[in-house]
Amino acid sequence: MARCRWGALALALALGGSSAQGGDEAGEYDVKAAYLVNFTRYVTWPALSPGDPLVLGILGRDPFGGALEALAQKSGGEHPLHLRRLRRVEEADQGPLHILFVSASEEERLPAILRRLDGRPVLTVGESRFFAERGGMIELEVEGRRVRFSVNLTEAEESRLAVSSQLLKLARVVDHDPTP
Amino acid sequence: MRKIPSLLLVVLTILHAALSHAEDKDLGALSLEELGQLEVTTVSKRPQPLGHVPAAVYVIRGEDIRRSGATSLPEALRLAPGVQVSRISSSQYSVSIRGFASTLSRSLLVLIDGRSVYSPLFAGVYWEAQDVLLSNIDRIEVIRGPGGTLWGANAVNGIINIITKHSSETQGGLVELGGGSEERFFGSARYGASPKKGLTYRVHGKAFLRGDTLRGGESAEDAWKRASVGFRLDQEGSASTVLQGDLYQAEAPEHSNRVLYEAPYLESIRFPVRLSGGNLRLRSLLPRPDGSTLIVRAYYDYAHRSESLYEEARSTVDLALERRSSPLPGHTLSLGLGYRLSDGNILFGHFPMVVIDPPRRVDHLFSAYAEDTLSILRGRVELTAGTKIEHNGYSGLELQPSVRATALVGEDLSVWAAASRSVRSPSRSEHDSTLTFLLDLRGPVYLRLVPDRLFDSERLLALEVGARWQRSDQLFLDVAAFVNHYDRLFSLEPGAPFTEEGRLVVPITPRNLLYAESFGAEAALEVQLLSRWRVAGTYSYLRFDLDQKPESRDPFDEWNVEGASPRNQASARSSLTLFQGRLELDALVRYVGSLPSRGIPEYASLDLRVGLRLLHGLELTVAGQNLLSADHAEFNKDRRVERGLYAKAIWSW
Repeated sequence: MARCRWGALALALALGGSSAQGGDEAGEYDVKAAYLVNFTRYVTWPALSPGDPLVLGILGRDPFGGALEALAQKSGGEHPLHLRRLRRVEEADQGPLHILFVSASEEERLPAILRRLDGRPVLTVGESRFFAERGGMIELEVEGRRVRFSVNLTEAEESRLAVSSQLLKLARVVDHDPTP
Repeated sequence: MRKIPSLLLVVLTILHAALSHAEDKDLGALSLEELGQLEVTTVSKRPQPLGHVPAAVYVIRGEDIRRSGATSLPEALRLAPGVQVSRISSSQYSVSIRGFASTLSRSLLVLIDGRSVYSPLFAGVYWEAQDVLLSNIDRIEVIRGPGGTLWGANAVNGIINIITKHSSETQGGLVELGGGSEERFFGSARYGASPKKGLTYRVHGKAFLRGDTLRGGESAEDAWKRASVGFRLDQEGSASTVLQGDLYQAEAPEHSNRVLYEAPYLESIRFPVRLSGGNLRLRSLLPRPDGSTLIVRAYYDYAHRSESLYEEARSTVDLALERRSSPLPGHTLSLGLGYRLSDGNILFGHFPMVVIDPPRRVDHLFSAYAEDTLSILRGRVELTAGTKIEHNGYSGLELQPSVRATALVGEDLSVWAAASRSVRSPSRSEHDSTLTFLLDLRGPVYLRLVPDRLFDSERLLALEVGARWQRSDQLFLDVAAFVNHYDRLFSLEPGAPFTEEGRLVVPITPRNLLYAESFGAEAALEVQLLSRWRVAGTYSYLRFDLDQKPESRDPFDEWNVEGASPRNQASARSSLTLFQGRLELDALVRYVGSLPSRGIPEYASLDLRVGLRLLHGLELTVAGQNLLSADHAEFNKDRRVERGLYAKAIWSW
């Protein structure tokens, strides 16, 4: 009886232990938020001096649940991160903007959004399928149970953004076919 | 006594370990490589962004279907609020939204990847002929309420749109094998690959045998068998194109009573209903340089049904063109044109029960629609107005307009309202078929339903409102309420009895002399309680009041339609994902109110599922269905569904 009880307890600790130790797992949007903050270290914006704030905008519904705010506050690096929320892409003109996360809620308006930002030095990051092929710069996608990203280098370069080769090494690089 | 505390200790330790939130991970300190290696447990495919949709839409995600343990399309539909799914036999289901429950869902439009599976012969959906590989389903959009403006006639009470995954999401191989007490055997295989960039495909095959249900306490011998193969090819480039197709064959035995003109006048038989068919569909989404989008769609569908009362072969060709553009700032305009050819050929009609004249009829349906959405107040308010115009061979020209509005209140809340008109056009049966039933064995006296080409469309005027509250991925609440006014509803008018070759016949004619009012509400709630625990609930309420016009002498319908839908329906779901997704525990509890006109009492049911993810892409699942009682009836008093247990293994690579 006693043997059975200790055995069961050991099994419980073994199964539960790995997650209690904070094993390698996290929420999808925690990881996507971390990617966004990370990208700021591998992209160079024209006319941005060290110490200038880097503005990260969220267009559409915010799926991050506070994760992005938390990370933005903690992040070190050359530029302090500021967050902005935009409901429409036209609001991009109302203030400085360096990265724009296009939420899945804006999927239907994607062509109009990307067209509006064409040529501007704003890093567009999205999670809609084929975001990169359709003219977005970085697409965050969930592959199996990991979050990966694709980069549309042409689009970024045409907007005068320099993307570090370290970022490109880890990305799937895509090109988008220009619309006829 | 001593055993209990130690068992409790074990359980508590496991639960504590499993549920303790390792939230304080500093992801910000991780490098890009490390981020790419992290496994995400809450791969919450967030609900489709519903913020701006001015309709009562509920999206059943593919993941929800997988976690529910459902093994067929109608079972998967139970997850949505306001959908009444009543199982009749091993293969037959009655599925309805906001009333009008019957063997054939006559006011519901059901689409599989845009292809209508509504049979225009008797106006309804034969669920026993439909099946989709459930792991291919991306989502099922359930729209409660009239969808006449966009979807056309027969979408009076709702639309069910089953959407399969893009082939890029079903790459690699998947083999599934399982069996159990009710789900006797099922197996499927799927393989997807990408021969070149932008081109992906998948092929799949599926076969299953479902156990018998009970009829009068004994086996109904109605086991449902089906085998199918299919494929899907997607090309992404400047245009987005899909080509897909299926072939299937099924057997769905049913019990029916056939009427005869000579003794014994009524024969009760078990008929092995045979269903077979295939379809091919092409859809292309073409973005134009002026910013507009053009959608071209075409499909061909062949369905062959051989049952005890008739045999029909039907071919359908459907062509549609749609253009979405923004002609003026703030406006989004959708224009569409459609043509459908439906060629139905009755190869056999059991005499005298079913006589369809002419046996072959080709119907042409022409449609056009326009819908404009105006966005004002910096995108906070959207107004939509649109209409569909159709011309069919039974009721001529039909107009189905709708006006809708949606407004964003604050950051997380949106409210909407809609007013629409929708119709159900006459089916072949009301115009072309003579159906003879036995009214009384003594005599004998027959009841004959005589076709009437004057039978007109049924009409609906609906007013709906709703609200949606969504706070990131943690909380989602959706409520909707409606008032429906139906007019020119199908009624059966008896005429003067006459004698024919020594038989007494009472003729009845289909007319449009009934009308009805209904009102109700539906609600859906989803909460992510902890990173590993998601709960959801649904509730629906329906009041239906059917009346006769003074000139009507219909003795049948009033009680039948009203009492065939439950007043209340509710469900609650819990999904626990433990040990980094290696263990899944799911539970689904449902309550369905009584169906007074059918003599069906209220019932509650419980489904449980345990999923185990092992090494090398192998997954095991054990699921129990209808666990609360040994058997229960859902639609017909003497047809009962039994408790069941099944297990399956899935191997993917």
